[in-house]
Formats: sequence, structure tokens, C-alpha cells
Amino acid sequence: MSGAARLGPGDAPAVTLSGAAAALGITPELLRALERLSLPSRRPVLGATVGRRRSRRYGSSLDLADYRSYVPGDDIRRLDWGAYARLGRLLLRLYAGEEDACVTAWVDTSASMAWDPVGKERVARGLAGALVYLALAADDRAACVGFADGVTGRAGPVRGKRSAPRLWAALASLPGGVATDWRAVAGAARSVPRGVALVFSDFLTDELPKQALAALRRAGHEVVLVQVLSPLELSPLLRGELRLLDAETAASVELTLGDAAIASYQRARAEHTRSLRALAASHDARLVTVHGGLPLRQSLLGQLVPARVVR
Amino acid sequence: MTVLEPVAAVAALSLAAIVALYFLKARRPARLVSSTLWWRPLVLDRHAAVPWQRLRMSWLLALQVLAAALIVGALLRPAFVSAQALAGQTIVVVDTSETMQATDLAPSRFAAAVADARALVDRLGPHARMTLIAMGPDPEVIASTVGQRQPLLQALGALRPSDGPADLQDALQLAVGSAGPRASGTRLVILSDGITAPLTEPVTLPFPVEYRRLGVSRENTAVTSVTVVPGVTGETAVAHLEDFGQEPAQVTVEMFADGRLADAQTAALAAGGGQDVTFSVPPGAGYVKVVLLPEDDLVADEGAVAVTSPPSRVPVLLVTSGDVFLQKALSLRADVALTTEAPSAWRPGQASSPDFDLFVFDGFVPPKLPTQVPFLVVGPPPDRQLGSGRAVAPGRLLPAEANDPLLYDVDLSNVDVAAAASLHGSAFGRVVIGSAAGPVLLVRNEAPGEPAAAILGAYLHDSDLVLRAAFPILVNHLSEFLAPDAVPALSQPPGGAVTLAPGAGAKELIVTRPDGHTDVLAAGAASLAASGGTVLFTDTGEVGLYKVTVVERTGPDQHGYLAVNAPGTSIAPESQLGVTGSTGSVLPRASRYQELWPVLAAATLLVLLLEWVVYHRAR
Repeated sequence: MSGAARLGPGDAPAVTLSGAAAALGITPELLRALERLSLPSRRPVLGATVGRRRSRRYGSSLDLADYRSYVPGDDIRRLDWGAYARLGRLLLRLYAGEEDACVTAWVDTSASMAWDPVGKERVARGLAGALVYLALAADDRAACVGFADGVTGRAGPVRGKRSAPRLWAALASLPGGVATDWRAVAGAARSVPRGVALVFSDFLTDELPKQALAALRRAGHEVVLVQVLSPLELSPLLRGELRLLDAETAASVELTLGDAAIASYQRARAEHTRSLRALAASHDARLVTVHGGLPLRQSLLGQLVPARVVR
Repeated sequence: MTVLEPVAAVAALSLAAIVALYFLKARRPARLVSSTLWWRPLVLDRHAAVPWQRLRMSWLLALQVLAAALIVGALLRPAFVSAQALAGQTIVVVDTSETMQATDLAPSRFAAAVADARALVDRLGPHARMTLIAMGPDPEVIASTVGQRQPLLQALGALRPSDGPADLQDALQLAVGSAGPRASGTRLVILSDGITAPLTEPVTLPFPVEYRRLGVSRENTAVTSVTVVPGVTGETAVAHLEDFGQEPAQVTVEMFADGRLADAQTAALAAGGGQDVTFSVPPGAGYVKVVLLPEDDLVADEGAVAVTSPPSRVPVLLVTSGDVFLQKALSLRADVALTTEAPSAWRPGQASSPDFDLFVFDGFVPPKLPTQVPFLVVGPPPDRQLGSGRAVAPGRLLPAEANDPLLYDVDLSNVDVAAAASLHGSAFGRVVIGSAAGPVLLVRNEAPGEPAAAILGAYLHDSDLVLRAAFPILVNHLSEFLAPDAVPALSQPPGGAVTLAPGAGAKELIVTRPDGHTDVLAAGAASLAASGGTVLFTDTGEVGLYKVTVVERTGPDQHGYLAVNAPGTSIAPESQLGVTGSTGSVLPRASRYQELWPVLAAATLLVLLLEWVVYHRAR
């Protein structure tokens, strides 16, 4: 297959790296780095099948969770015979369950993401591709949903890291939308199995994503907001008499841009980030801002790891 | 007429853009930014002055808007529709599992699947082959014809949903087998909600596959188990309720004893959570049934039954000088009625007593071994009948065979036996547990004139075996091997195989299913004796209470009950099955389209040509 590479023996398990993986910036070296990382969840999960995450149900892990009195018909393999020898009471061991979670990457495909000539959309989709691989490598299920003014595409949930190329292909080919409408995320929150929701967006919308966050939490998701910003958004290079056109709404503003205007812009950006962080905290979610101009590996290890989104 | 690319309607924005160009004044160089969100605070008090100009009628504007409208129309791909018939070979898998009884699609998912299958049958071409596979616990081909619709429709009409799970793996194997060696021209359509037994690994088939997902609801509450527990004041029924959905549920739980309503409670179930509910069982009740109200989309798992006490007790006599661990380990089995007596109380006549189903001799061997009743000897003294000798020091124990059912979950790795009776020279039976000093556990099967029996050589007081979890499990396995239940006491899942053990003394075994249908599983003592007194019963597809009647050669008939309950499951339809097929169209498109975009594209070219003419004339 043209443009495809396969990891060899001794590397991460064989996964064919297609053109879609290359488009996302996913390389064999990155996959090897991902094999050493995990995507933790802060709360016990309610999964569909056996996995590696601590479950809210009792199960068959090695971690003892509780005892209860034995009743006839119980599985005597779980009988604490030693406790009977000591106490004269028949007690049954209950073990913590370990189940999987569904990690869903919600990727903003609106025009503001595609606007960036430096490639923040590529970074957002690349990070989504890396994190869904991380989930699949840890026996979780993974899915991806593209959204803008509606759901623009979806794939999964799938299981097993051999299914990762399917998600990468879907991520690489998510069609672009126009404007970000958080009602699209709110409406689709229950369309994927509950688990961990990773929302990749620039969050450049007039209204904060309160409705979407509330819907994702109600649907049982643990939410992580990943704000991907272009270097041109973090430090604008615009100067002079200009008419700025909004990539999503086509609205325009006419400005005379100098140092004072840029300082005012930075204050507005900081205030918006504070509001977004407060909103995330009020919904038990996390916010991490990622520099959209960095290589994928550097964004992952230098920004998501310190933020404890992955570790 | 339909539109194949409705998303292309976005291109209609170009019309507005063209019009805007005619009445927006260009004042400053424009720069596209991702968003003006963070720039807007700068201009709140500085609105641009008069950005508009009056829009005037222009032929150029009209022609450009018309051209843009035609391009948008072409991008939308408007088309006329015409129907098309099936060709080649079509394999249709209809899910008949329990969750297909869900009524979130009216009248049910199963009915919707059958209706979809009928629609496919109606499209069958004159030389096309169609194979119907029912995917339940045991998938089967229910019809396969070339060009004939009637047998297919009859098979669909006779199809009924089961209470068991869907075995997708077997169904796919049947599909591959039905496709034959040449898979070209074959396609597979799976009509299911996707809730199936998990595949061992993702499956790739040599022909195209289409999965039609049926079902919309995720909400389901269920009674996942009912157990009747003996207590000091009487029996208690413990029902476990589970909410598999994503919304909390308030339910009423009714308990019926022998078919009559005995008690009811309310319970609040958290989304995705479970709860135990207990009821006191009225004295004398034979069975209980626990039912949830109100009914949700899946009724099959709204109730579960349990037999109040084991249908037949297993009387066991333990002859011991007093070993509390052995006594407790034997009594862990729910249906055992344990009697204990000292070796000095043993009378020779007891060896042939019909009052017990199992003898356990602890540190004692009767002068004459039982010839009718199975027995277990633990830590025997030297005895010629058994072939046991003087004490030896076995040390670590080793399984004689891998995967011996008697040693399932019996962990011998940390067991150390300081002293045991030597069984080195014994030809009593096969070795189950060995050691460096010879066999430690010997077991023999039932034979004419010889009951099943076992010898555990370890002296319990000279071993840490009794302190290990392996001990009660091993004793339980031996007890169930030597004196099996006629009918399993625990509830069974639907569709599974159940071993019924009426015993070699039985003449006939009759099972009455919940719908009243009767099966005679073994008629004649010879057939039962030939099978070692056990019969495998597999027709457990229906949930409910099965009555098992054992007709004895001598004495009155014995009755027992077998409870078969749905385990309860989420009914959330799966979006994917983990099955991929070869590339290509699964079915000839349900509709064939005659597209209009070439006409629109030609009209666009014409308008653009006209616009060019008007532009140059205006100059």
C-alpha cells in the first residue's frame, strides 16, 4: 500500500499507518511514545465489558472492595475461608470491578478551526487521533464525532488498537462545517456510550458551551475541554487599518490596530479563558489550552501530560 | 424528486455574497480571522460609518445570482428515483434474541426486523438466491431458495423471538457456509439491534455486509436474579434489580408465591445502578416470582423465578470424631441435609441404608463398604478394602491432570500436607491429586455393584488444607460429583444446556416447559442407565419454571423445578457489529437515481456566456 508503514517486531503492536495517519501527524515514533502513556479517568466508570478502569460495580479484579455475609448459592470460590477459621463466620469477598470506558473525541470542524494557515485544525485532529489510540491500546472503546453547526461526521465506537486506522481515517476526513453550535454537541451527547468526552475546539463562540457541558455530564461523560489555539490567535501579527472578517459568521469589524489594541485583545482573550475555565470547573470538567503551532508529540508530552490529561 | 447532497445548500451563501458585493462599500483591506470574538470589545464604541450603499438593479447582478443559483442547484444533485430488484445471492440474518422483543419500535424490534426481511424478499429477482438465517442462541438456516418468495415468507411467518442471546459468531459462520466457495455476487444483510455475544475478534467477510440497526431506546430495568435464602424465621427471597439505562427509574416490585400476589414494594433505581430487594416467602410456597412494574420496552427480563427450597434434599451422613471444617464445608451446598454421628455409633446395616445419598467417613472406614450409596473417605486408617497404608509425608500437592473438573478453581499451590494415608498401592480409582509420596486423592466412577466413591488421604489435622480456600471448593466438587442434584438448584440462563441427574434408578424423565409443552427426555431404564443416570437438556430457550418429573423404577415419582431466567441486559442498540465485509455496494441501491446536475451545469455555462456578453456590451 502506497504511503503506508508498519511497525516492526519489538515495537508497538502492528498497526498499519495509512495516509490518514500521516495526515494527522501520527508516526511510528509517536505510537511508541503513546504505548507508555495512559488516559486516566477521575471517577469509577460504568462500562460495557471488562476493561482496565475501576468500575462502580463489583467484579472480578484482584482489588478487594468489601465483604458481605455468605448465603447459600453464592460462589464459594469467593468465600473467605481464612476469616471463617478466625471468626467462625462465613464471609464472602467482593472485588472491585474493572470495566472499559468509551473515549469519544468531539472535534470542532467549524470554519474557525479550518481558517488557521499554521494548522491548529491538524493539531486538534492529530491529538484526537493520538488519544483515541491511547484509549484503544488500554482496552477501552473509542469513537469520534465531528461537529460544527450540526454533527458533521462520526465513527465508532470501536475496540482494539487494530481499529485505530478506522478512526484516523474518519478524523482525517471529517467534513468542515460553518459555525460552531454547541446545541449540536448537546443533542448528540447521548448518541455515544458514556465514558470520557474529549472536546477539541478553539471555543471561539459568542456563548460559552454551557449547554453542551451540562448535556455531556448528564449523559454520564467525564469531560475534558482541549482548547487549541493558533499562534496567530495567541499573538496576532495584524497591524494597521483593517477590516476583520469572521471566518464563521462573515461578520466584520473595522479597526485600527496598534499596540494598545493588541493589549486590549489579549485582555479579552484572558477573560474568555477565565470564564471557560470557571464554567468547566462548575461542571466537574477540565480545561487545557494547547498551542496549535507545535508538533504533535510536543503538544502531547509538553502540554497534555503536565495538565494530567494523559500520564 | 430528491436531493442527494443537501449539505451543498451551504453554497447558497455565495448568492448572498454576490448580492453583498453590490451594496457593501469596500472601505479597508479585509483580513480573514478565525473569529472576531476577542476583537469586538475594541469596537463597541466605534461603529463603522455607513457600510451600505443603495442596491441598484443590474443585469450583471441578476445573471451572476442566476449562475450561482444554478451552480448551487447542481451541487445539491437533485435526482428522480426509480426502484430496482435484487440480484445475485442475498443472505439475511434476522436477530431473534431476547432484546429483539423490545417494543421501542412498534410493535417490536423483532417485528421490524421481520418486516425489513419481508421487504427484501419482495425485491427478490427471478434468478436471485436468498438465504434466511435466524440468529438466536443457536443460529440456523430457516429458508434458502432461488427466485421463490413463498418459502421465505412462510419461514419468516413461523419465526419467533427467543429469550436467549444472539450468537453472532455462529450466524456469520452459517452465512459464510451458505455463501459457498465463490462469494462474488453475495451480500449479507444483518437485521439486528447489535446486542450479541461478543466476537472473539473482529471479523472480515469475503462479501459486502450491511448492518441495519434496529432499536432506539436505551432504557431497561430488569430483575437480574432471584435467590431464596433460608433464615431463622423462614425463607427470604432476595431479588437483584438493575437499571441498565441512563435515566433513574421508580419501580414497583411484586412478589408472587405459587402464582399468587404475596407482597409488593417500591424501589428507586439510579441510572446504571442496581439494588437488592428482599421479601419474606410465605411458608409452604413452592416457588416465587418477582415482577417489575411498570413494564418497560423489554418485558422478558421484567420477572424472574426461583424455587423456594431445593426440589429434593440430598441427605448426607458424616461419620466423624468431630471436624468442624469438614462439617461446615459439606453444609455449604444449599441442598445438603447433613447428619453427623460418631464412628462408634455406626451400625453395619447402615451401609445399605436408603436414607442417605452420600456417606462421608472422616478418619474411619466401616468394616463393610457401602455397595449402593456413594461415599467419601477422608484420612483413612490402614485398610485392605481401600488399599490405604501407613502415614506418609506428601508435602506439596500436585494435580494429576490439567483441567480436571474436580479441581476447577482449587488452588493447590500453597497447600502443604504433613501427613496422609499412603495410597501408593491402592487400585481404588483414578488419581486426581498426587504428591511426591504418591496419590492423595483417588476417585472412582459408578459401576454395576459399585457406587461412585472417593478417598482423600490427607489427615486434616496434619495439614493446612482445611485453612485454604481450596478446601471447601474441593469438598463441594466431590459432593456434587458423588451425589449430584437431580435438577440444578441455581437459576439457569435461557438457551443453555442443563445436566439433569435423575439417577440410575429412574425409569423415565419428563420435563414440562413453562408453556405447558411436555418433553419425555429418557424413556426406559436402559437408556438412563446407559447414560450414567444423567441427561443433557438443551431446550431451555423459554424463560420461566420447568417442571422435572422423575419416574422411578420403584417408589413414587419425584418432582423438581428448574428456574430459567433472563440475565438482564442493556437494550441500547449498538452502532457497529465489529464485522466488516469486502468493499462494494451491499445491495443494489434501494433506489436508482437519474441525476439532473448535467442539465444544470449546461444552463450555468449558458448563463455565464450571457453574462460575459452583457459585461462587454456595457463597457
